[in-house]
Amino acid sequence: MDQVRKFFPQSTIGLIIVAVGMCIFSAGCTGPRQIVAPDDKELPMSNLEQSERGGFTLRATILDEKQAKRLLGVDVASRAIAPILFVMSNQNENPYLIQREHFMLRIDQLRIEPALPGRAAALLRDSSRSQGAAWAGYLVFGIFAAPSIDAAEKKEAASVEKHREVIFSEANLPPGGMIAGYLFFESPFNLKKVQRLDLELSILGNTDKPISIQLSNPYTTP
Amino acid sequence: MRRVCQMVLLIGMMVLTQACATARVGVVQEAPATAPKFDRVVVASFSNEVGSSLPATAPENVAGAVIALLQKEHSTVFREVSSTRSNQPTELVVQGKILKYDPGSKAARFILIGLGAGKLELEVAFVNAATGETIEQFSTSGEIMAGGLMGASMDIEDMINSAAKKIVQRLVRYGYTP
Repeated sequence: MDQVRKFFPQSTIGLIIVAVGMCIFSAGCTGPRQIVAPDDKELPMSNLEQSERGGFTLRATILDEKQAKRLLGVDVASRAIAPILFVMSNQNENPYLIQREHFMLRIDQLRIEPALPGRAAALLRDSSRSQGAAWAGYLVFGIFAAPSIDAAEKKEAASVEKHREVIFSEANLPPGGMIAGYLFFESPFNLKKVQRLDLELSILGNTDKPISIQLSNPYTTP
Repeated sequence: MRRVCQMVLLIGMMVLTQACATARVGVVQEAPATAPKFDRVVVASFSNEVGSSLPATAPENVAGAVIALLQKEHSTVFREVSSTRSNQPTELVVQGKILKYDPGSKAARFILIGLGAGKLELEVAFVNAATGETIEQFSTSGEIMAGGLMGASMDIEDMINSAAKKIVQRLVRYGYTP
């Protein structure tokens, strides 16, 4: 400690602490990142993750870590969520109502439905700003960090409400039309250990086999 | 060196200055002595009895938290867990209302333990889908009593998760392998 003091006078150390605190503190003043609207350009170009049946074409992919960070603004792998982007087109003459519960994700023998949009939005909550402000309070500002924590919390809560509107709930698919959406599945297993994931879509009635796509899992570790 | 150790100890103590999110249960209608068995459970979105002060995502978040817990920790208890009803006869429906919500304040919790506590109160009923009979009814709540850094990092998610745990604890006895 004395050696550190020799090289840096106390005032310099103080300034460094305040500067670091200011950086963390200012994080509380900026809002959390918003989810980018789903876009078919994010899907892989190959036809491997595509399925066609009865005039419907379903394409889907599991967003990898970089895509998830860029599009959703959070690290989903640490939250045990499988984020899926799908695009569906209708070449039939009739319109269809596509709903969240028409989709299922098969993980080994288990079939799970997409998280309810409100649940998914809450899971994607980015609390880094309010936590950053709290740390700044502990390190430098003490109770003066409280307004920043409060402001960050309000922005984070508002952002969750906005996220809910982006997450797929239901949509009308007109003849010749296309829809895209995000589905989020809470995996009961560690995604790194899951080998096979199949996305299923049942809209043609209970008696028909669902449209199914085998998805490659970008989180699997050998 | 001694001062550094003292500082580390002090920061550690401050970080640990916290309690946790807790949940309580109050029984309205007792569970039957012999629990009927169901192979499918439906957890519908809870109804909002609070009004606009409740985050719009909360009713679905509570249902989703119960579903996620069933799938993660009790995956073999029910054959199927869903948020939507089917016409199957052996279906148990979890219906709930969010009665009260006080978000508390992260900033106040950060300043001092005991300040800015948050609370969420729910009423839950397990209903036999085939007969419409209410099998069990109870109230439960999730609370945050934490302080310090931990208190500033806890929010409605923690209240929901602790209440969901209580709901799942009572729900699993209606499955085939509790």
